[in-house]
Parts: sequence; structure tokens; C-alpha cells
Amino acid sequence: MATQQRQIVVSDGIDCHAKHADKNIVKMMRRALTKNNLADQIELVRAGCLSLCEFEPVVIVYPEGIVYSHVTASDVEAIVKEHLVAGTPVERLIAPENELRSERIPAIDNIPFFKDQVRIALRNCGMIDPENIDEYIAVQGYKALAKVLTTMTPDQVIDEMKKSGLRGRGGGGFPTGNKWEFAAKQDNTVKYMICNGDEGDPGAFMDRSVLESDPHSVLEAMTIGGYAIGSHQGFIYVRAEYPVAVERLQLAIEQARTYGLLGDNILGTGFAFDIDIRLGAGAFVCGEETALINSIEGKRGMPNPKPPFPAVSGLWGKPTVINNVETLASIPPIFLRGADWFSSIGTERSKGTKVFALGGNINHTGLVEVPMGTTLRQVIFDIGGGIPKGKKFKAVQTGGPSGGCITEEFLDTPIEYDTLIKLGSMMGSGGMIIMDEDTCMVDVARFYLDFTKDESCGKCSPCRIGTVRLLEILEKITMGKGTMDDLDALRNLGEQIKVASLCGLGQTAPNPVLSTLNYFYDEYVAHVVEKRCPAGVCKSLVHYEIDAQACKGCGVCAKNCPVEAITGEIKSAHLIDDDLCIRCGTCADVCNFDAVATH
Amino acid sequence: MAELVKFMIDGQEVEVEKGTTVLEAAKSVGIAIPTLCYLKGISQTSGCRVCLVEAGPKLLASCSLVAEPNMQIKTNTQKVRSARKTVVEFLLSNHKEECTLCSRTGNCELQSLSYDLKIDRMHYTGRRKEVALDDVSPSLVRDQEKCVLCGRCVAVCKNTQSVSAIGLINRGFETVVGSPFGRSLAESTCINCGQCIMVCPVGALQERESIDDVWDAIADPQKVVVVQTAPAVRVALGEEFGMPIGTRVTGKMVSALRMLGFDKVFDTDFGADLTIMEEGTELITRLTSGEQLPLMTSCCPGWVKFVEGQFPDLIPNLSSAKSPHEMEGAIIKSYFAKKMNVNPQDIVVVSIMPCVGKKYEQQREELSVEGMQDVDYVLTTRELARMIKQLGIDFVDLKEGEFDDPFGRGSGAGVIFGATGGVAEAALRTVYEILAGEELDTIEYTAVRGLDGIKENELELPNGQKIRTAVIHGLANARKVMDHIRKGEKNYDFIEVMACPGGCIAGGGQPIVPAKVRSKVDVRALRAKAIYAEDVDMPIRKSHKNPDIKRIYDEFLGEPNSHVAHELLHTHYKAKTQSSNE
Amino acid sequence: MITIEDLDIIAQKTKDRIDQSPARTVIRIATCMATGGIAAGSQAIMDLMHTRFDGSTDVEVQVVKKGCVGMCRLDPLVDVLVPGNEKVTYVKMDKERMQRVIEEHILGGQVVAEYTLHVANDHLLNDYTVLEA
Ligand SMILES: Cc1cc2nc3c(=O)[nH]c(=O)nc-3n(C[C@H](O)[C@H](O)[C@H](O)COP(=O)(O)O)c2cc1C
Ligand code: SF4
Ligand code: FES
Repeated sequence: MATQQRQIVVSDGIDCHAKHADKNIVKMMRRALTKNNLADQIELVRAGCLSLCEFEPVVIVYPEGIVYSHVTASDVEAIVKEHLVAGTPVERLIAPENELRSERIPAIDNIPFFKDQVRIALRNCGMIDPENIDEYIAVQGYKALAKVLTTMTPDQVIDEMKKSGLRGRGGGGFPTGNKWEFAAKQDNTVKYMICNGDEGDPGAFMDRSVLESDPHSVLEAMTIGGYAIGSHQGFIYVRAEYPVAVERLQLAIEQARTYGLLGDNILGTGFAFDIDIRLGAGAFVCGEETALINSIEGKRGMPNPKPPFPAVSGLWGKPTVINNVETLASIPPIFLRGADWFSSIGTERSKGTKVFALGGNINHTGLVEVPMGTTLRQVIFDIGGGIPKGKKFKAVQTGGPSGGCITEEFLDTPIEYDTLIKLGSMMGSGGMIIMDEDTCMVDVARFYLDFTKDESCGKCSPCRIGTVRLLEILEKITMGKGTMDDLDALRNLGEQIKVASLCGLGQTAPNPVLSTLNYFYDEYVAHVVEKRCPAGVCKSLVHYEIDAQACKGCGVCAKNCPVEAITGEIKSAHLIDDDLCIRCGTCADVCNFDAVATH
Repeated sequence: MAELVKFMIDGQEVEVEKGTTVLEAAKSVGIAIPTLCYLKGISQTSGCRVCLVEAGPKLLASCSLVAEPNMQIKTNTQKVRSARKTVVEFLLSNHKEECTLCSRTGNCELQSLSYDLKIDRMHYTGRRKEVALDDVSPSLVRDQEKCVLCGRCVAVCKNTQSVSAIGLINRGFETVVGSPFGRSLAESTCINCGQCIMVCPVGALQERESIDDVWDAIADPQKVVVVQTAPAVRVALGEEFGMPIGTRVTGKMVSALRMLGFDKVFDTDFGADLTIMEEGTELITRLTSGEQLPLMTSCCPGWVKFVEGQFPDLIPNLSSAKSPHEMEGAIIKSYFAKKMNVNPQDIVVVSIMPCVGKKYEQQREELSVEGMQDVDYVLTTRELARMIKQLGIDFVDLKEGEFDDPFGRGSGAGVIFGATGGVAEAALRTVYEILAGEELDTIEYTAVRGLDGIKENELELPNGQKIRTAVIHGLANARKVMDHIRKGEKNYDFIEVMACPGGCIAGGGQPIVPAKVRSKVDVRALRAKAIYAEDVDMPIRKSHKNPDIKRIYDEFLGEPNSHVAHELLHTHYKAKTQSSNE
Repeated sequence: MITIEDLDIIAQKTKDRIDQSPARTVIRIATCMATGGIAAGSQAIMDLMHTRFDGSTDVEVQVVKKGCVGMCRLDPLVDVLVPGNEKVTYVKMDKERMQRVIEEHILGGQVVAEYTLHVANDHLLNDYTVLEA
């Protein structure tokens, strides 16, 4: 027998500094429940921001899902008495329909997060059983391959790819059809097709998602590519930290072999192609194509100079096409529905869709796939639900550690390869980190440099040493020891590392520094000249102070300070000794009167 | 005819063979693009980024950029200059600033690069890498704090020697060159050839020095300090004093050694002749019995360790003869000691060698008699030069001195031990005559000379028997031949192997020639030419004709491979499962 | 080895399995078994359903894994497809909740509304952080 479990969710708005926040709603609710002997039967949850700031404090009563807004102390009493005890929702406290539409939605497809998405690469993700090849076939899987093998010549396949306008989703944005054409033109009986599933950009997981949720689409696309360029062997390079993806791929390959969709004489057409998996050790640089090739060859995962490009001399010196997972996953629909259909989506120079992994200060984190040309604002606000806790948007970092930040004024820019580069960032593999007003941009640059300097393979001197020098200067600035000369040095250093480094890692590593310097120069200057971190993030620059007016002299702060930096008589205002303070923030956390301020 | 490629460098039209790099092409029109990591024929990783040139919108490394038709290359732009400068500044900012204490000062590629690129101020400073010195190996010392990660040592160890004792470990700023699991070189598969030293542009690699020990011995009135010099030293030592590559300085060297205070100055050529007698006899015995063929030479300690570690099943094929300087050391401490009436314990034998492997060899316990090492110290050619410089001896203008008796006279056969093919040629000169029972007019076996990695030769003896020889230098080549032998794909009677490419003349203890010079001349060919000239000038050119050799057999050893000879002049080997220097 | 015709035959045969519309004929429960789902505990849900439905005689249910729809914060996600009804997506599921869904929804025909998505003014209410409970 199932008990109808009641649950009350209270979002008091304290968390997001809502205007009428009242911390006591939860306490009052708890008291009222106890008084009415309901405490044992009803689960009470205090929730963080629900992004309904203008309605806060909000109380939601489940299972009905009734939402009470602007709840006051007296309302709590009414909700408990009338709704919880007597069982009648308190109509007068429920926000009118036109102000707050609250509804339960049965299927995820209907929520705003999904409404504006167009799913091509992710078309089957979450729809079919990834471990069942028949289900993939049921959604027209391997039909594109059948069509290619029986009705098209390799040249026609390449033409169709070129016509589709598909560009690489792995970061570089190189037209896939052209890449295939280069490799196809090479006069060599042995060629290779590689799927790049290294996905080293922190925060990105679109490739993992595809490999776990729709592995056959990647196998099918690789086979199509193999046919187009004249390759009979493919490799999927996937990081060992993706065990689920590896397992699903292995299973998918076995199933495809059993069905003769891989192997000799595929679908009875005489075409032979097989795929093997190679595991990567999970270094960011191993996603760079020449490093990836070295890694497959059993060498240290270090890039080689280009030219020669892999399409000419790649794996074991043979012509090799390397395509990203998402690129590949977009390919079967192109052959099923035609290049014209695909190129009708997106913009003039960027066709189709792109998957982004939304992260950072955004309400709906997750994977989204949108047509090229969608604006950043649509992605962040319409689909991603905007910034939590009613905070202001500050910047969005695209392209991960290789990219740059983009500010409010450019939010209406349509997302395209070229527009993002113009803004000093790049498409990258699709990581999209949203930052709110509480983010320190110097610290953001420092964070990314800290990542790249660790991920530098160590081969070339500009990247190996230069990134450390960049990081050292950034650290100096965040510690309040920077000078204006350091800002020039950052810029020069960054420019030199970009031009002198061997591979894309070093060539893009300075981007986070250069773009923040560009858009947030004032913030750097504040750190350097005023020794101030405007966002209050850089610890060395934050100062804690007790507001003498607000301080009730309760002494809680002094008792909790780990270094005894707070002094004061009970019942009179306390004082923080800035020299002793280690900026741990405990006093601010424990103060019941919001008397501790930072600046 | 090779296909030609036409393109532009700094507005000049250049035409080169297809496949030529922009770096080489630029050289042909008089532009020496600066380089650091690149070393012709050895390494081309394009990691240092010093050789950047403008190719369209991008800067690319000219050392690996293959010329394409119609390329527009610019080597002389502000962008190029400042990028190159920054890169070198980066390297300097992470380089131990100890130039005045460094053995490579004056011969350091980073130092001259910094000068050439007009680096007079450090714009970027910061943390430097801190790694402890690896000085456990008997032959080599590695100072990571000076390393610029050019990768040349890694390349030479892997490609030329097929040893792969070292590789890049760690990532990013923490990257270092090292052995697997961060072990010391001494605990790696390193065979102590020292080729890594020869390619290192800076002072990150050098020999484990013994100069001060030798000074101490010389200063000790109790000790009779005897020095012997290997053949290859005399054709290279002059380079350390600014003389052209390939200058013969035998007499000056002897004078200098005497000035340093050595009591006796002997020639290792004598030991080489002795080696021919012993090893030649061994060859004849094996040829007659047909057993344990091919006989493989054992005078190169790097090669011996390579066999012990990587081809232990072929150990029986190694000649049991000690290497020349070890033989000579053993004879000095027995025959000579008795003759001079000195306690062998009071004799200190110092070998001047073109080799750092000899430093390891000197320590092998198999090369001792009753706990007394045959040789006490091994100094490299470079160390000897340093000692001469230390005393302020004006080497170039020295008078020619003569080696001391009774080990001062070697044959031409002994001299050519210094070059690849020399041991085989010397052996053939003797073995052929003994087997033929007659004197021979031709003494120069040019088929075994030259710089081909593997030289095969068949010599028909008067009795119709054939000696099939293979002469190999560079261990990657040796590995190939050993693999053939193991698989039974090839059969030889006699194999000469020298680990160092070119033989001892290019050994790991020789003067270091910077990349710039190496890109223009073949150092090995020049030094080999000098060795063969030395041979021609020798009154005696066959080991068995050396009267001093005859005398020592008459007076002391009896005959080659006799019991006494075996006691003093032969050794044995140990399979090394986990390669080590023990 | 299959032929091109076989592809159509397989597709035809499997069409009903993947049908997300009320027209389907067999109950299907698809649990997110991508990394996000697994990390949130979906394996326990899979186990529960296999134990309950494998070889069950009272009701036929396809228990399947599904991939990621991109809303990992709501994981484990479970789709319940009952013939004749619209698809229902349950979020933030666990074994106990699943037990209730089995009894009330699969067996009882009654959607457990409180585990479905709750949207207010385009904001997902399910998607909150618990500060204290
Ligand atoms: C440092 C670095 C890391 C990279 N990581 C990845 C990666 O994880 N996945 C990927 O597909 N491409 C990555 N790339 C891009 C690849 O080198 C290559 O351009 C891409 O795989 C080509 O596929 P596409 O044309 O389909 O995009 C990386 C590049 C660099 C420079
Ligand atoms: S840019 Fe960085 S990652 Fe790329 S080759 Fe150079 S050191 Fe390695
Ligand atoms: S990159 Fe060309 S010399 Fe180092």
C-alpha cells in the first residue's frame, strides 16, 4: 500500500536576497506542523532558489503541487490549518493564473528547455535503447549507410557532404566534406578513419552523451566516411574515464559485426570496413589530432607539427581522417534527408545545429542542441532559464580553456564559428560556462591558465614555459601584487605564446587571458591599482568588516573565528583585525544579523 | 632526376629538391635560421620554436616545414624576430643560471643563441624547475635544471642506439627527460655510450668527471701514475684548442701528458695489438672448430652491455678478450710492475679515452685481478683537454713528444681501432697472414671502412675458406643484425661492433661539436681520415709484426690464448636481466 | 549477415518498441542509464524492475536502458510508456519512488503526478537545491 506522502517545499528567498525574504517562514512552518501533529507525516524541505524571485517567499505543497506565493507569517498558519489539516487549498493565497502558471507536465519534451531545441546529433539520445541495435535500425539506423553503399559513388558522398556545409564540431570547424576529399585524393591503399572521442574540455560532455546514448550513429557515420575516402579500418579513440561509453561502443561494434554492418562485405555490397576502440589516458592534449595519432601508435601523446596534415600523413604515416563524435553523429541524417535539408538549418557560413553543455551560473544546466545562428541570449535565457538567484549575467565562456568570454552587449550575436572568433572566443567543442556578477574575471583567467599549464604536453617551449609565466603574473595580480606593467606583459606574453606554440593547445591557451583583458580591463586595473577585487572573489583582496550599526554584540563571530581576529565586548559592536583575518568567511556565515560585510 | 620545388624566401627565389625543409633551403641562399632542438640526421621534433619563420599568416617551424611550390617565406620580420627572442627568453627563464660554472660554457648552443638573438634583458622570470642531479651512473651525469627539452638525447638513444633508456616523462612545466618510473640512468637500460652527451646543446649531460682524482694520484709521491691514450683521442684533442677537425696531435698530446706529471705515457695502440693477437687467435680457433661463430668483438663496453642486457643468448659469441686499455692495464700491473720492481698496488693506471662507457667498464669487477682493477681512472678526451687548460699549457705550440717504452709502440693496425671497421681490418691483417702462412701486400681492407651502418664483406683465404665479416656501428644497426642472427637469417664468422656511430672517433668522450658545425661537415669522416693517415705513417702496420708484442709473448705471455694470457687478458660476461651497471 | 531488405524487416519488427506515442502496444519503462543517470543511482532502479518484471506473468513490461536527454540534474529520469496514454517522464527517481510508480502507475493506471515535472512560469520547480530537510 502506498501512502500518499506529503511534502512541503519552502523557498524563502534568503538564498537569493529576494526583497521580502523572511527567514522565519521555515521555522514557523515547522512549528505549525508540530503544533498540529503533522511533523512526522509531512516532509519539510527548505529549497534554494526556484528562480521565482518576484514571488518569493514561496511554499509548494505536494503532491498537489499547489504554489503559494508571497507567503507571510499569518499565511503559514492558514496553509497548515486549511490545506494540510482540512484538505482545502487556500485559494486566496494562490497566485492568480496569469501571474504564476504552475502545472505538472507529464513528459520532458514539453518543457521550455526542450521547446527551442533542434536535435540532429542528439536525435536518438534518450529515445532508444543504446544497447539494442534493432532499436537503432527502427529509427532508420544504417539506412543512410545502405543508401550510400548502393546508390552513391565515393565522389558523390563527398559532394553531398560538401553541399551540406557540415563543419567539424571538435573545435576547428573545418568543413568535413573538404577533409574527406583531401584524404580521398591521396593515392594510398591503406587509409584510416578515426573518431575523436577524447573530449578533454572540462565541463563538456556532449560526445560522451552521444557515445553512451547512440553509439551506432557514430559507427554508421564512420563507415560512410570510410567508403568515401577509401578506408577499411576505423578507430574510435575514447577516454578511459568514459567506461560506460566504452562498454556501449564495444557492444555496438559486436552487434554491428554480427549483423554484417561492419566487417567484410557490408550489407552484401562488397565494401569492407571495421572499427576498433583505442583508449586514451585522458590528457586534454590527446584530443589534438596529431597527439591522438601518436597516442594510438603507442607513443607519448604529443602533437607533431602540421603540415603534414593527417589527411595526407596520419596514423602510421597513412592518410587519415579524424572526425569528432558530434560531427559524425550529424552525418547519417544528412544522407537520409539530404544535404539541402541540413544546409537549410543554420546560417550562411555555419550549417546545421550545435550541441552545447551549459554549465556555471545558469538555471538549467545540461546539454542543448540548437540551430546555428541561435543567439547566445536565447540559449542562456530562453533555454537555460537564465541566471539563478536573480543575479546579473556577467559573461559566458565558450570554447572552454581555448576560448574566451563574451559579454552582455554581445548576447544577441548569433552563434556561428566566425562570429565567435570575431568576439575573441571560439565555438570549441561546445562547452558554455555562464558567469554571474559574483565572478571575478581575473580569477576566471587564472583558473583556465591553471588548467592549460597542467595540460601542456611539455614539448614546445612557448606553451610549456609561457603558460606558467602567464599564470604567475595572474596569481600575482589576484594576490594584489600586480603592477600596470604586468598587464602589458600579460598581453605581450599571450600574443607571443599564440603565435609561437606548436599546437592548438598553446596557440589558444592565452585566449581566456586576452579576452578578459579586453572586456574587463577595468577589473584588472582595480586589482592592480586599487588592490580591490570588485567581485569579492580574490581572497587576498577581500576585507571583512563588521557594520557597527547592525552588530548586536552577540559574540558569535568572535567565538567562531579560527584565528581570534575578532574582538569586542558583549552587547557592543565587534571589530575585525584585518591583519589577523585569514578571509575564511566564517564570521559572515554565522552572523545572525547580516552585520559582516565584505569589500 | 629529383623533382624541384621553387618558392620564395625573403623575396629571393629558391629552388630545392622536393622534400627539402625550409631551414635547409634557406641555408642554400645564405640564411642560417637559428635552431636549437633540431640536429641534422638526429632529431627534428620542432619543439623549441626557435627556428620560426613566417609562412602566410602563421609562424611555422622551418626545421620541419617542407618546402612547397610558391610558398612565401619570411625570415626577417619583426614578428619573427620577437617570437624567436621570446622563445629563447622563456628557455633562459627556466634554465639554471650557472654559466660560469658549467662545463659547456663557451660551447653551449643556448648561450650562443642568446647572444646571437641579442637577448640582453630578461622580460619574463619566474619559477624554475627543481630536480635533483642524477649522478649515480658511473659514466653520465644529468642535470635536469639545465635541460632545454630539445629531445635530441631521447632521439639518439632511441633511433641511433635502439636503447630507449630515456624518454620524456611528466607533462607541461614538470616535463623532464628521464628513465621509466623516474629511475636513475644507472638503473635503466642505458649502455653508457654517451651519445646523448654528444648531442646535448647545453650542459645538461656530461661525463662523470675524474679529473680531481687523477690530480690527487699525481700529487701522491707514493704512486707511480701511468697514463695510456686510446687511438681516437689523438685525432680529436686538438679541436678543444681551436685546431681544425681532423688535426693529428699525437706528439703534442704526449708532451702535454708528460707536463701534467704522469710518470709514464703509454699508447693504448699497444693494447690494441695485443687484443688482435688474442682475439685473432680466438677467431682462428673458432674458424677451425666451426663453433661459436660468429665471433663478436668485445672492445666496446657499450656494445658488450647491450649484448648482456638485450641478447644474453649471444654472450658466448662475444670474444673473451678484454678491451685494449684493460689488457694494457693488466699488463702494466703485472709484467711492467715486475720489470720496474714496483708494487702493483702503487701503480695508478689512467686511461685517456674517447669514451664514457670506459668509465663504466673500468669499474666492472670482472676486469680486476685479486680486487685490484686493471685500470684505475678513465678520463675522456674532454677531461684531458680541461686538465691541459687548467695548467695553462699552450697546446697548439707544444713540441712533439714520444711515448714511453715498453708500451709506447703500436702498429698501424692498433691505430685504426679508433674508427668503425678498424678492429676488423686489424684482425684481418693478422689472421689472413697467419692462416695463409705468407706475408701479404695488401694491407688495406677498404671494404670494411666508411660510414655505412652495416658493412658486409667476404674474404677468401688462400685455402679457399671464406671469412664472412660484418662491421657495424650504431646499436640500432647492431640490433638488426642480431635479430637476423637469432632468426638464423644471416650467417657470419666475424662481427665487429662499435656502439658509437662512426666508432670511437665519435665516442661519447670526444670534443662536442655544436649543431651549427655538424650541419656543415661530417665530423666522423674528418676524424676517420686522420686515423687512417696515422696508420699510413706508421712503420709497422700489422699487430703481429710489432716487435714489442713479440717480446712480451717471448718474455712473459708465452703464446696467444696461453694460460697466462687467459688469466690476464681475458674476461667473462654476465647476462643482465634487469639492465644495471653492476 | 543481413541485407538491405533485412534492415526494413528489422525496423518493421521493432517499430512498436520505440514508439513513443499512445499507439504502442506494450508497456515500456526506460531508465536513463547514461553516466548522469548511473551517478544518480539508476542502476538500483533497473535492478528493481528486472526483478519485478523479468518473466512476470501478471503484466508484460519492456524494461530498457535509455540514453541521456541532457537534463542530468533531474536524474535518474524514467520514461513510462503505457499503451493508450501519453509518455510520462518521472524525475529524480529512486527505488522507493519507483516502487510506487510500479504499483500506482504500471499496475494501477494512475500517474504519480508528484514525481513528474513541475513547471511554473517556465521554471522547473523540481530543479532546486535542498538547503535543509
Ligand atoms: C588541445 C586540443 C584538444 C582537442 N581536443 C579535442 C577533443 O577532445 N575532441 C575533438 O573532437 N577534437 C579535439 N580537438 C580538435 C582536433 O584536433 C580535431 O581538429 C578534431 O578532432 C577534428 O574533428 P572535426 O573536424 O570533426 O571537428 C582538440 C584540439 C586541440 C588543439
Ligand atoms: S602547444 Fe603545448 S600542448 Fe601543444 S605541442 Fe606545444 S607544449 Fe605541447
Ligand atoms: S623548432 Fe626548429 S629548431 Fe627547434
